[in-house]
Amino acid sequence: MHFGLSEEQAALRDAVRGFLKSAPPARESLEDPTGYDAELWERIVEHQGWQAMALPEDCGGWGFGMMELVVVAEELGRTLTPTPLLATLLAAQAIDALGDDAQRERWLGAIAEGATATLSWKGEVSADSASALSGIAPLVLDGHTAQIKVVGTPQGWFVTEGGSAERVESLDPLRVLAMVRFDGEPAERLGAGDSTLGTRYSTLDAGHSNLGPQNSNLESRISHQHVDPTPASSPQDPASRTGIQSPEPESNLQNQNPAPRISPQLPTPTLQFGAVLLAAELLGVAEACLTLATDYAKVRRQFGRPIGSFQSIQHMCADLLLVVESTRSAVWYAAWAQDEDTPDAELAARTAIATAGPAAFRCAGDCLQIHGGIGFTWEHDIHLYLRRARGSLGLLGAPRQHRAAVADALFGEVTR
Amino acid sequence: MNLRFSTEDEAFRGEVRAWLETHLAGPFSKLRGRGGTGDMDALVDERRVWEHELAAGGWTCLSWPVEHGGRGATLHQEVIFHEEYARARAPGRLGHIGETLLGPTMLDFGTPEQKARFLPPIAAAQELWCQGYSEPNAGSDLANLRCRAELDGETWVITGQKVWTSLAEFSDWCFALCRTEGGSERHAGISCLLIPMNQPGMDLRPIQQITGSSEFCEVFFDGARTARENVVGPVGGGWKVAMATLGYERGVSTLGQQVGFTGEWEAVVAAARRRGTLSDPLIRDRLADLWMRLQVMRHNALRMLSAGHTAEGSRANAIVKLYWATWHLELGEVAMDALGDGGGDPELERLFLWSRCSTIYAGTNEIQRNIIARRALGLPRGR
Repeated sequence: MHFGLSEEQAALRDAVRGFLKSAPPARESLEDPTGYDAELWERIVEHQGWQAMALPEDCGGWGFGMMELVVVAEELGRTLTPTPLLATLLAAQAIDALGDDAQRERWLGAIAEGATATLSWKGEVSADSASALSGIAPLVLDGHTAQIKVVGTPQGWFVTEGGSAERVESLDPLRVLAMVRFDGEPAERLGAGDSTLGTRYSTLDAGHSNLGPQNSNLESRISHQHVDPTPASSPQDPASRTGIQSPEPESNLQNQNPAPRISPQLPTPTLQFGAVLLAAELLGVAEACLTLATDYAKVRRQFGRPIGSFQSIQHMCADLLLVVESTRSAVWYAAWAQDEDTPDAELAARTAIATAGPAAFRCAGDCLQIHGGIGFTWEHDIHLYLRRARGSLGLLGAPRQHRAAVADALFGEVTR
Repeated sequence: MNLRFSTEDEAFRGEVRAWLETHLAGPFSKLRGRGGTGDMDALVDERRVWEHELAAGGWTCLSWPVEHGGRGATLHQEVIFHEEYARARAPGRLGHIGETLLGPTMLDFGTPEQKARFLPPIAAAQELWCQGYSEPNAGSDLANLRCRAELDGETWVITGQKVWTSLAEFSDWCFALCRTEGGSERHAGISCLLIPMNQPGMDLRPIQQITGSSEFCEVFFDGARTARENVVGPVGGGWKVAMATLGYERGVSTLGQQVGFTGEWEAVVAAARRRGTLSDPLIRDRLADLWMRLQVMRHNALRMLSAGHTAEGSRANAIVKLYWATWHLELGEVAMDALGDGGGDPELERLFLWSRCSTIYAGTNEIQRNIIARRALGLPRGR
């Protein structure tokens, strides 16, 4: 029994931290049209191999687990270092889950070598009988730079190198979103060479767990190779069609109807993977903001003494420590559960992201408050953390949607 | 990261589980689920017999050295025992103050004679203890305590008042902080005295709580006496002893407590199902949120136990009380909402009322935040 990093994982953390210390500050990428430092990314690919770390060994990866990725992601969140890693690994996970052997070898091999990728699961893209894609995916993570695009359509999941993209203004300038347009570009249907296919294009939305009394087939849900054979649901939800993250409704009291399911359509294993990875990054964000806040509270003086000696500031900081520590436990547990394929891995992933999202947002917000006026200036990094935290809050499903999915799993679904 | 207990530990778990199943039967069956928080004064005579049963089975004072009546159990075994004890819904302990507070203090600060005199009867469940720390004007500000003890030849004579003393009516001994130096202030001049409860010069008055029940007493000392040697640690050096006592609770029982909380959460879910509020999206949201935090509570505790006395362990440890207290307060509120329009559920209503003291006893949330800010985050002391 040991709940914590192994010696190797702690060494990895120190190495990542050391590497990032020598990297240019995140804000230097603010003016970069790509949103990240291409030269730094090249060094990461060449010397650090974070893109290949958790890919399967038979596809050119190192075969490491979620725990190692979580260690890297936390450090990236701490420094806000912009990289195409999250988008690339999300796409890789989907290819690993949905692709046949030849596709896994080809595309994951390319990613291991440093090709960038992304995943689109929102928007209106459809495929014709010859697997050509057309339509618009409005908010695709790193969509303008990704070489490989994995695209969810009502006809199934496809992978392509085509599509034209245009950067979209969005809250977090260090995590670029782009509108991707397909106009008959050829694509490859994921899992095309697999005879068991037809059942493998399921899309399960983030607000809708397949766990629970109604469907207790845990094995099929968790295995990366066998996505639950629920009939494919097309993204017909009008809210998801806009591709815009819908804000969490304050309450449902104003109407008698249950909240609409506004959810990204993602294969459950991909959602689960992405949720833990993003949660780890947000853990780093939360830690960084806690450190900034307490360091500042120790040196900033008003009324002749450090503001950190005032109880109101002390109690704010104490609450931040509580959310940071809880997030660490939730994230590490979810990573372990995923590596071990435990029956509660999906619930743990949802717990991790539903904990980490609000934690990072609160830490960034309170950090800004503790800094007072200086925190509201462009030159201070706090707004970059605030943007990252808020911009991530609905990226892979809003916390409320994850809680709804957990409630469905624990209590059974409500007939609506 | 490896969250599986070893084969040996799992075998130990099996042993505990089997013992509890066999022994928590017959006349003891009715004790299941009783005597916990909010119910500490229930079935005391029967629970006293149960304490003897536990002691005879060797299930008291697990981590103590064998020579003092313990079984030298490892940290993991202790954790497992607490989990299984809670899972079996075995009754709230009467001997836990002696076992978890005085015992460890005495092992660290006691003389060989004191250990020989006081530890075996705790392990054998023959003597029950209560803790005399808080006073009317010394709650969060413990160093403001006024209860005093003066030497009269070879005996201490004690005058003053303690308050919020749990299980005082049923205890044989009290370990109490008293001022042993006249005119001393704050942390100086305090000693930790061991005082027999059954004597003239002691007066107990139960405090009726908002729940209507009485689990705590006011204890009045008016010339109560104890022998000169009944001081743990140096005379006048009791503050250090007291702080050590408060520090022993390092998460060993937290996992057992989490199991108990899970049972309370399940009771609220069951009530929501009965009352038809479980289909309300807001109730579902809050119950799911509480469930998630319950999982985090467990994982915080495991991480704290694994990290031990490292910086990470201290940080994880610092938030334990604030975390569960706040969780419990919210559970009480959700419980009331889960009942819908009407009340009429005495069990959940008792839970609600009792939860209002979670954020007060054992260090208020405000004091917890002060401690976190200063010790875990290193923020400067206020004025």
